[in-house]
Amino acid sequence: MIPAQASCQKPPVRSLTAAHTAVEKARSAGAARYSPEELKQAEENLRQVERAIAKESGRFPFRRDYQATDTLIEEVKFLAVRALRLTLDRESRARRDAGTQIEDLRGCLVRAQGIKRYLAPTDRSLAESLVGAGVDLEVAEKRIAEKDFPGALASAGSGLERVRKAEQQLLSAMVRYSSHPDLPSWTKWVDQALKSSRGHEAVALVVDKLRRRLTVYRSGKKTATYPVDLGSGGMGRKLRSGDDATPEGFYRIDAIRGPGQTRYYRAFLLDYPNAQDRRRFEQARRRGEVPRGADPGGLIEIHGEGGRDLDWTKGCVALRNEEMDDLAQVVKVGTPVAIVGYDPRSGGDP
Amino acid sequence: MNRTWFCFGVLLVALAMVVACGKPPQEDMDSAKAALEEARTAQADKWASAEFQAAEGSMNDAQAEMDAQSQKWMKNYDKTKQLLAKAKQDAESAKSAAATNKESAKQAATAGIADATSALEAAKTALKGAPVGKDTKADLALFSQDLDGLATTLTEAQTAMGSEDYNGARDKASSVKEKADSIKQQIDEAAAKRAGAKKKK
Repeated sequence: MIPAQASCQKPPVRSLTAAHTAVEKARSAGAARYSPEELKQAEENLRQVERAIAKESGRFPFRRDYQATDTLIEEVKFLAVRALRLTLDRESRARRDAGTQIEDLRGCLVRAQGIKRYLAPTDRSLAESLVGAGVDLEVAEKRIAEKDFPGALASAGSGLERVRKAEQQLLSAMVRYSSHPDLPSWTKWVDQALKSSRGHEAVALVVDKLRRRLTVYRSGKKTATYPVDLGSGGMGRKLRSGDDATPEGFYRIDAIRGPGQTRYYRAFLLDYPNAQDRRRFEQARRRGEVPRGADPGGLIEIHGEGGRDLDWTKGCVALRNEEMDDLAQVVKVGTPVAIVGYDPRSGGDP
Repeated sequence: MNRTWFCFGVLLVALAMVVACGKPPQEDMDSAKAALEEARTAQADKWASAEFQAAEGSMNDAQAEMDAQSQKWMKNYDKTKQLLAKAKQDAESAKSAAATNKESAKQAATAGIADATSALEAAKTALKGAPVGKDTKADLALFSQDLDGLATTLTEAQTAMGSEDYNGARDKASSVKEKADSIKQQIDEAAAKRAGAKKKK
């Protein structure tokens, strides 16, 4: 009884120091950031313990009883350990999540930029979203290097939000193509080119504007595909000179120019404008949709100096020079060329 | 009799001294705690985290020493007072460092935004003067879109300044500057290449 009474009279200095150390350890591990509530509670309880000890210490030695403070100290230690564990867990999760989000953002950004280039190269609001997302990505990478994982997560999250908004816009644009009013014409022109290729054991070319792709068919079978650059008018259909759009229709190669005969390495001149293009232009002119003195334009070619991953021509279709060399082996004057907004035959192809 | 009174007096003085030394320095403790709280209010945990942690550590040392003394029969709080004075000083240093660091962060962000604004302007000027041709028109259109996007992001950086997110503002501005510089460089290179090609002709 007497030893028990004596132990109750002695302040629990060692365990109090251990509680202080536990709280300090949680704080040093970053509990203020990752488990602020738990740390605050541990600190508050620690202050309560200190007040209780001070109160007991002020009493007459034989009346002191530190039993209640022992329990409080155990609580503080428990809370501090909990704060530390949560801190380590949350920090580790934040690090992992930030890494994943950054990877997601990087992937989405590349994909969205690629689709934008095909689908809406001139859309400024999309460009704004994607530029902002690019900045967010860089900031997130800086934050992760500084081990500021919540900061990295926030920046990557903001970037992903922008990219997803852009993706939604792009998706809506894409859906519009699968139900485009010109779809029957596009299907007809592709069929016409393929039929021509099958009938004469010859070659036909199909340019899919949406996919920025030229496909070579021989005897009705696909033999090669090449990426292409189009007119800077993007997905718009050529109507008149100066609109820098690539025309859509069924054409034939009119003339073939080799190196030295064109500034674009090699060129296959198309018979644009054909009768249908002229008719369309006349209708637009009568409706007052074209400027005074305008004409349907001409000199539309499939030519070299392409491969820029950019729509830069004035309406022509540009390929890399080495791919023009390949094409030059198989085409001749009269080879049919179908240029369509979207080739429905390629259905699931990206 | 006189000798007895003398001994009694000495005993009283000694007892008074023991009692005086044995009194916990509550005023010092309150003062140190107040200094630490002030440092916290000045966001020292954010802007001078190392200094703030050191102040908290000093405070804990002082508290531990005070606890240790409180159990002794012959209490001596001299060391506690020293530790409390150190804790107070550390807290004041943390507060001062927080103010300094916050101000530097603000200045760095302001300078970063100014640099990014100049870089954007320089890129826009280069874009206006760039030769437009079939080969360059599409590139220039894309650069123009990118510069517009960067201008919007720079506005976000300025907004971040308003909410005292100086590091966020600085990093955004730095990224904007980097991208604007890169665009200007590409425009300059394209212009130089074109000028070279013209000379050859």
